[in-house]
Amino acid sequence: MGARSEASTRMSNAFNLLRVADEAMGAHQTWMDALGDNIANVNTYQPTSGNAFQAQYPIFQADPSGGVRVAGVAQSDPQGREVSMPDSPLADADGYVRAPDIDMSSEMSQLIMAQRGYEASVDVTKTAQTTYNAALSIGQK
Amino acid sequence: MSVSGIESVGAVSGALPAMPTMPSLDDVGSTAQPSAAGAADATGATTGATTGAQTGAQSASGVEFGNLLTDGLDRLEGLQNTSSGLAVQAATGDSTSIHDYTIAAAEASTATQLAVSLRNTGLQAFNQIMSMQV
Amino acid sequence: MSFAVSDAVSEVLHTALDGLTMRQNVTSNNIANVDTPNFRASSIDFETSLRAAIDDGEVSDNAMPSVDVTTTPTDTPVGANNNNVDLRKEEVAMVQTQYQYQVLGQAIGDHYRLTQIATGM
Repeated sequence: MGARSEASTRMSNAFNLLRVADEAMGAHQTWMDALGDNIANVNTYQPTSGNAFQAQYPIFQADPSGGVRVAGVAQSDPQGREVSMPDSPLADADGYVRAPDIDMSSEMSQLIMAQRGYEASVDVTKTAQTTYNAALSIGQK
Repeated sequence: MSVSGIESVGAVSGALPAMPTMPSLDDVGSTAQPSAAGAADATGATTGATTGAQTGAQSASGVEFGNLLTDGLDRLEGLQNTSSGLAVQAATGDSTSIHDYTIAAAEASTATQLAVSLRNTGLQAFNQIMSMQV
Repeated sequence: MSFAVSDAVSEVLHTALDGLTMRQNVTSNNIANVDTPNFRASSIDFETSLRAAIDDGEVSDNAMPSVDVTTTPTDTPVGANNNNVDLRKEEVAMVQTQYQYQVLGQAIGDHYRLTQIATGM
């Protein structure tokens, strides 16, 4: 793939559309999975002696040969928020626990964006199929 | 808002050169059924054969019919090789696009049909000439 | 010009199909990066160069015209994440390009079909 993927603007594989769409669907799926995990742990408390549960967010980076890939993971603040819960077995001497730094409304709006991005690449795979069928029809009676 | 860089298809096709007729068929005087009359007149067939093919005689363009056929068959072989090469590329996953192969295949198929049709017509004319009373 | 079943017209159509394929790749790349921070969408133009080649009479039989493809970043405004992909614009572009591809694919097939009909096949 070496020389081909270094070509400037021309992406020269016959099924590049599918590859790009698939890569993007993968990245957005990773995002949705991370958001789902964050939301599931919005009430996961930790003692103040340690870190809070850290929400995770994939870092998107443009793939030079076309498409997008996950280049790393960003995490939310390990300090989290100190919340007063004196009855919790995890509470410290002052009755505080660490809650994760997760804002539900932000997670939900990200979920909507991730779904939109995913669906957009699903549409690209459908376009690819129609295009390939059109190419195959050339010369057919 | 308009999409930058995307032109309507009409703009492209409006500037294309006019579709060519079939000069190769008219030039050598051998014809498929649709244009028999016109081609025979163009080459001035003297034997009165209805198809008008003349083996070894000069065609309207001044090139020997035999040479024309040979050049054409060389090019046909080239087209078939191109088509085969692209098919192999598709098999090994190296093809750049599907339409490269299907266009080459359509081209090779059309050229082959043309060659077969010319050969059949030439054979027909030859047999007619050979069966004439001298 | 015997057996020249591929002439200037089909060379132009083939070149345009290549250009449209490139456009599809660029558009799908824009769509894939709709959520990528700091990404700038781009578009390509091959029609200008192709039209110029035709007008200048540079298109010949059996040789595809040499066409320069220019890539330019789009001028859509930057939004969240410093990203300027306009998804609606890219998706409409995808649909249009696909239909243009189908038209040209049909055109080049029809072009060869004329020769086939003339041979009585």
